[in-house]
Amino acid sequence: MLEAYGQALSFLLSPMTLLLMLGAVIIGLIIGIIPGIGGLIGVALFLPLVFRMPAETALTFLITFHAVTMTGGSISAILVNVPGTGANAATLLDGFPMNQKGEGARAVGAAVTASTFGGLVPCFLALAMIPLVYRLVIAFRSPEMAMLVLLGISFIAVLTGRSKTRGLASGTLGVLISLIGFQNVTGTYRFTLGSEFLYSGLEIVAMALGLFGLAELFDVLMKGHTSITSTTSKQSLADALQGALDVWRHKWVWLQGTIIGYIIGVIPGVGAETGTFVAYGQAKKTSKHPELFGTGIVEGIIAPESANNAKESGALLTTMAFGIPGSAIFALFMGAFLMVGVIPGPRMLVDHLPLALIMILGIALANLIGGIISLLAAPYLARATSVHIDFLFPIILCLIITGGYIVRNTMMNVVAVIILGLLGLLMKRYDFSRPAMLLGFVLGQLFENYVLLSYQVSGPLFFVTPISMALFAFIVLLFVYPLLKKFFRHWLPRRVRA
Amino acid sequence: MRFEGRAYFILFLVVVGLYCIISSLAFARVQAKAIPLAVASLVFILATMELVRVLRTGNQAATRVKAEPKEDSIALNTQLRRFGLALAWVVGFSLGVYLVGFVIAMPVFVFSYLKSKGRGWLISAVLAVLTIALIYGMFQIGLRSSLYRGILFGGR
Repeated sequence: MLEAYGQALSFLLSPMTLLLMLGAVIIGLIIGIIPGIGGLIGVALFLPLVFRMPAETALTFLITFHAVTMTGGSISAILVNVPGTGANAATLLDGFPMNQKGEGARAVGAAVTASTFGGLVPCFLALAMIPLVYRLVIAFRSPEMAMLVLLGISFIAVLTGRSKTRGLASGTLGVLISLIGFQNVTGTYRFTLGSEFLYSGLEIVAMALGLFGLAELFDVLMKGHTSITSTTSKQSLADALQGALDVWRHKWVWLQGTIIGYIIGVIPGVGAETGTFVAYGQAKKTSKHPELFGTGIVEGIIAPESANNAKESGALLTTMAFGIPGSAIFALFMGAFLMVGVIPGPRMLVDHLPLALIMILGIALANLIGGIISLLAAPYLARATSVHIDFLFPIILCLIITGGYIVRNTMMNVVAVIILGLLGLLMKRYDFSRPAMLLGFVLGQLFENYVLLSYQVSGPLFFVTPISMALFAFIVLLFVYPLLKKFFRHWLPRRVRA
Repeated sequence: MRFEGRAYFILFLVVVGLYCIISSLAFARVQAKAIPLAVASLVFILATMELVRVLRTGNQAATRVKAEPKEDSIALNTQLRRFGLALAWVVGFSLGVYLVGFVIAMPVFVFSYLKSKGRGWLISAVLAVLTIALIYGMFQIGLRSSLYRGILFGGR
């Protein structure tokens, strides 16, 4: 074991590997910042480039690149309200308002630090928790997965904004949109309006680009603002460092997000988006001032950012140790493993232990390098958003339209982004919750798949399993707890006094 | 009881919910219709509740979104004109991409937009070239992902 650690560290710390990782970190950060590409498309596009490299080099490049895309994605979410990857969608809820208040560098500093340590610490957890993880993965079948996704959906109630009715309507509309397209189970085309483009449904990237990116551009122009941020305060490295210190100040929020992200990463098929929204919702639930979430507070950035990077170690562990891809991107990684002659599964930790350690420690090192680079660049990136809107509008629009096109290589996706942009604008104007809609969209299809699968396998009482019931009890508690709190704080003392 | 912006938007959601309920009922198998029917019914019910609330409490009061004095002070006509202009640029650029592809449409769009805002020739030209260089370098060269060439140049 120690010998394997030695081999892994000597490979990772060699000058050539460090140079390769530096290149991969820079490319990963840029790809993360650019909306519409994200880690999934990036890894897919780089696969043909690396398949002639030795296994260690190829996999180190890919994992380093992927590990920092979400850190990059948080930067564009905070600065221009366009999440670089789907996993950064929860970050913009508080990140962009902070930037509008002139605290962009601080927000980026907090996001980058939460991401860095959120990615760093679970790597060591991953190494220590292999026996426990095995039991957890085996225990989660489709009924438990359905309940886990339902738990994610229940957080719509947390993201509703000021009106519960409008928030729930937005969330359910998101679920409805996720159901558009071909349903595998029955072979039915649903809500496609006869359009071939809609057969495969809508992409989360199109949803995020339209609902947030384009809608925000329209809104800024309609209000006649001259820049994306409403203040022109000069931001420095000290602001970014203050953001880094905020993570220490809110270490419990960070820890909670990291644990949620790691656990959700370990369980295959749930997705980074679920982890970030659950972490955000949980941070809001446990906060002393939940009403401030969404107005631009740093806890709203720390929770999702720690979760989305923590997820990677968990997902990588599941992929390597059990041969089960933790997410779509790790399905690609399984392809990369096979391309370089490594078969993922329990034998991998025996036959290729140094390689497995290189990948886990590689995530840690990538997060560290990416974190330092992003932290140093934060004030300059934040200042860029106070540039006059005349210059920013064409550039951001070019990125949105290109991002919309590149996801599916069809101009119809650009049309979808524009339509979703108009919908996002109307939702913003009339106070309907866009985050709730996005959460509904992310989890709707997943929920239906697991419910149908569970129904087919276990019949109508599929949810009667210990883990499912425990998860269901937790969901009920989420709704009942605020009422109970109110009851014990106000109503009961009054009755006792009377 | 007057229909204004917000009420029209909620009415649109009611119609979407109703359309999805009717469409769901037409799906042949229960597994295909169960969840869409349940979710569409929820959308319909929630949107209808909101519509009734808006019409009862008065559209004017409900339209008062986030207290933003600056925004309120901008006349609706001005906002609509600005929105129309922005939408025209978005649609125009997308149409340009559809016709002649990203490589031609992008610099033309950036240059004309900046010129229309009264910016100088040099800065407009430099930014147009830099934007296409960034996008082309990133997608076409770096990621080997082909940018759309435009329907007039053989794109599909």
